[in-house]
Amino acid sequence: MSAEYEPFDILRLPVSPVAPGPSFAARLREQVADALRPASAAPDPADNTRSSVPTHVPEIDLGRRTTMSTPNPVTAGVVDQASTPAVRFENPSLVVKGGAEAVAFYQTVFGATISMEPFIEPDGRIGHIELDIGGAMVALADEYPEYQIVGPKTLGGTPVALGIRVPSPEAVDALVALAVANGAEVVFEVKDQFYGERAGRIRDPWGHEWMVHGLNEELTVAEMQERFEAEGSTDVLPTATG
Amino acid sequence: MAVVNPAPENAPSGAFLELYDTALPHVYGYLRARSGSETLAEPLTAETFLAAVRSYQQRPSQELTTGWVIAVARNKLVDHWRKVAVEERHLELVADGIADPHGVEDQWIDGFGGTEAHTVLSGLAAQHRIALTLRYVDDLPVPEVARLLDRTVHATETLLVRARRAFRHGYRAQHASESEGGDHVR
Repeated sequence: MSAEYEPFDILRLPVSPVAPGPSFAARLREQVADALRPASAAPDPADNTRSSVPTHVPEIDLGRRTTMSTPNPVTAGVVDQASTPAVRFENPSLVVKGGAEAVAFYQTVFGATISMEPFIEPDGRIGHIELDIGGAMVALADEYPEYQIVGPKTLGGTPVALGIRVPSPEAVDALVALAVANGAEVVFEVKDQFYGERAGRIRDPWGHEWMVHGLNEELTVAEMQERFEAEGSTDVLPTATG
Repeated sequence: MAVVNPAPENAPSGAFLELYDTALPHVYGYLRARSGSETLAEPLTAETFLAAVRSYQQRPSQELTTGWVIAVARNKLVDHWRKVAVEERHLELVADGIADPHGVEDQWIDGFGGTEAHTVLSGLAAQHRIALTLRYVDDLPVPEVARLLDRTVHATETLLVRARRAFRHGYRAQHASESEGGDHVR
């Protein structure tokens, strides 16, 4: 019996350390530090001195931290801040006029799978369906104008773009082409962006907008800033060399 | 009576962040090699550390070692693949009962490099991939694989038999396509 197992030993892999991208590592470190901090305590200044967060991470006083130490005049005295439950963003809920066709589009273009079977109204409208798009849950429903539940086509636009990440810059072009072949319109042409990504924005046939990103190179915020400024000036001045 | 609050959690936080700095490349390396994808390794690494923080907060006596975080990472990987396996079942993509036409268990092994084996592994259905990864890539004993997969030892052994069969099938398919249908018999 044991002889049967041996050939598979070739699959064995030791745990070899691999450093992730520096910006990912720094971002996650911040998240871990935040999670470690007791909800009621002020940020620990000692953490900054012992921290090995790369210097390129800008020190921004995030709004969330400010509200932790500064009582919100609206909720002060109403909600005990220390006992406010932790929240987690769950999912977007899309309203579309023509739910079944939209689901088919998301399946074809984004490889969506149905993670919760649709609840279908007697009149045929989808009351609720849950899709898994690349590991994130997206809920979807048909329009219910009688309850003021309407989609972007009826509203005449959307201020929200949903972000899609693909594994390579080439995949951005491929995905956008697939979306267009299935009826989407291009809002912003795909191009290499100053922030190190190839990206473009499409509007699906139901009016929802999707920003498709693929990483070209990991950049620090300072490098992004530099390129943004350089790019902004190319129309007017040649960029400095050397 | 003066009540002194327990010291704020600075020291434990510092210890955990030190662990983060040490363990991060190991955890990321572990997850990247097994998930076969950078885009997957990053969110799984993040989930791992955030789950480790929660567990540490509930049980501050937890010894902070890289091995412990790797064990958390393994659980996250199992959770991920289980979810994928459910989707695959939903799509009826799991091809079970693939015949073993040669009936020779070990025929595929000659001149067969690890990297190629991992390519075959990454093409398998999630159910099979996870079983082989825990048993062979991580070299865990069958009862431990059973515990991680929430199965009986017997059911795990059955799953491993199927997974090995699927692996051999995948290996032959890869070689058939490489040798363009020629009589490539080892």
